[in-house]
Amino acid sequence: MTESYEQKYGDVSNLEVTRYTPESRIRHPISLLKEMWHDLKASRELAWRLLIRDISAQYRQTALGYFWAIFPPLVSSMVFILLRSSTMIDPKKIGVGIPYPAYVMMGTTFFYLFVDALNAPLKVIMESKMILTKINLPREALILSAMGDALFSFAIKCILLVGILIYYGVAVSWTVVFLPIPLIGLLLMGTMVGVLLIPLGLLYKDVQSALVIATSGLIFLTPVAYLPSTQGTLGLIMRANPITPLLMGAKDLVLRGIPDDLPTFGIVFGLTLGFLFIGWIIYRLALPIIIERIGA
Amino acid sequence: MTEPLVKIEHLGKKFCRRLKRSLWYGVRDIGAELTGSRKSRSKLRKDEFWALKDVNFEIYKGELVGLIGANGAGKTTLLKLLSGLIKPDEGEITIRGKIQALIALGAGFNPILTGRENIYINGAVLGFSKREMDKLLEEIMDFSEMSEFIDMPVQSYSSGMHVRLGFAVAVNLKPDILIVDEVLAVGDASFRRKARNKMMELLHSGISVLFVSHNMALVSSLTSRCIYLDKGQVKAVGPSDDITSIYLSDSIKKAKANQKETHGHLMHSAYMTMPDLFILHELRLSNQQGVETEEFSTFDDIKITFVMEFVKELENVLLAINIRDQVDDVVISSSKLRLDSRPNKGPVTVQCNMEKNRFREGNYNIGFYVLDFDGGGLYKTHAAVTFSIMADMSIIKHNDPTKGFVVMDASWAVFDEPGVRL
Repeated sequence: MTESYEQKYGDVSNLEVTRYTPESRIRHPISLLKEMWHDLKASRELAWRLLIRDISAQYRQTALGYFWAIFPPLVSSMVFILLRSSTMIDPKKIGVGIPYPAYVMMGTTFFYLFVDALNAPLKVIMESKMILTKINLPREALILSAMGDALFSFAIKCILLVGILIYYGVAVSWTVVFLPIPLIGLLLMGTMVGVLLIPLGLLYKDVQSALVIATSGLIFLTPVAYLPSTQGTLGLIMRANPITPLLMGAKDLVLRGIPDDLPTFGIVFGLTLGFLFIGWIIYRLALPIIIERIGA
Repeated sequence: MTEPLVKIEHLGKKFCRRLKRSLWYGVRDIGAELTGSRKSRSKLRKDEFWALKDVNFEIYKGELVGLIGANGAGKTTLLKLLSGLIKPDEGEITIRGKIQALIALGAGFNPILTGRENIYINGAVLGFSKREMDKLLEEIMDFSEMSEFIDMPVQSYSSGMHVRLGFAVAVNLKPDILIVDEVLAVGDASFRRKARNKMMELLHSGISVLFVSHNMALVSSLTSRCIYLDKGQVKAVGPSDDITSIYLSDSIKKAKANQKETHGHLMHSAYMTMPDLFILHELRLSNQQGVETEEFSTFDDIKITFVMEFVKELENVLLAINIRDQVDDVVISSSKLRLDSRPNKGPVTVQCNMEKNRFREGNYNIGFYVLDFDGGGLYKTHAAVTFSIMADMSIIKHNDPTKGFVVMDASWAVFDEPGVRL
């Protein structure tokens, strides 16, 4: 039986071997890293497909379509413009000689890149719960496609922003070529927080609800529509806020030139990368446990 | 000796009965996972139970193995562990090659997108590039017979179309191990046949199939070896014919035990259901000797006796029965009798006599229906009473009572020359 069997089907030793054991993968860091790298590569195609799916499905079933991408920054900008017109915001604190609507629109557009990147991972995971609990796919793909979602929505906002900058005739500094660096920083920072929240967010719905409230408050604790204040509790919070250096850096690169506080910028960027990596490991290790709890 | 494609050793998995506690255990497990704690998971915490315990088996290349067991026996848990969706708490799984689990067909389908778009997504989920999928698309469309609907959104597909497309995608992606979960039970007969042939074709090309089903006739006719899971443990492994008979006789025993418990209740609810139409006083089964029983041999007479009293006046009432097997397929249906319902005349006795029954071994439900003259249903119950058939091998010639849908006495003869009987 065995002989004919081998003749018939040939050797199986060349097949890839997968092993599932109760032991934590963190005990084998080298092979864990290898698996992470392997899955990240394997994720690209799927991430792209999921992204196309999400974008087309998302806007296919809405009446206003892509308008929903520019809606939040538009509303926030209006609020700030109204606040200023009622002298709630001191125009001197802006410190930049450009029309306020253009300045506000830029700040909110950049800020919403962070917000979208923050919300996207949990949102994508929630929407993919069906697939996630039924099919074993490279789970990195979901995060990659979440980043793609945030970038896509940012791209739409950018079209509006560029239009506004041209309309007001804002002179742009040559350093704008470095703008992608702080933008990637904002994207990665948002993704980092979003990924870190996934394990808890999948188990407890509270996280998603809290996230909505937190992001709507955050816009006032971040120097979106004005320069960071230097006094008082708000000033302290703004300076401690890790979004500040990236956001101010981005604004500086467009309007003034190289940001003053490059070291802080560098440190925040580095820490973002580090925590994103940690978040990735947690995500990988936690997901099978979560799927077991939510997927019955 | 060749290595098996799937090797499961001392596999154990525990679940928690309460959701809140389960979520909290989840948080703690994540903590343990991240710190790399070596603490054994073999102890049950409060409210936990073993969904699988000490499961061992192997699947070799080119083998079609059946996985059977009652609902809640741990089959789905086992499949989830095999596909790597969840982590074992004990033991080890070793898999060689690419595994493709059809735990839920078309699970990854997005209803808003078209069939074509969904095929590409499903392919990408399983690690196929767009170029590879371009090549496979034709085959998938052919096999699913969905070419004309392929650019329609999936939400407008019927459930049969869903299944066809899902199955077509899965089998055409050429896995090394295919897990088929109750797929062949859906779809129309011609697609089922096609799916079955495709599975056989894949087997000959050397892939392995784990076939999960409640249909014992199908399991024993398709698979050579079978694993019987019961309460999270492997109760028996062996040749499919043997294992399916063990399973059947177990489920007959279980059904009987259940019936004893619920018997009074079942009958009670039956005659309470339509107080404004009729009262069913009695529903009993007996054999040719007139002995009341719910257990028959093949070829016994089965006599069904209804004692009922009409409350409402109706003309030309039709009584009907359906007899269903354990996978709920109707085996026979009978509706001979017409009668006028005359209220307040006292109970009527109605008998239906099935001479020399041809049922194969298994459990059956009798559904009881009262229809009015136009065929409109006045009263329906799917399982008014249950009976079981024990195959008596001594009287069944040339027939395997565990296979097929009915039993027949076949006579065989071999002729050497035309007209000359040996």
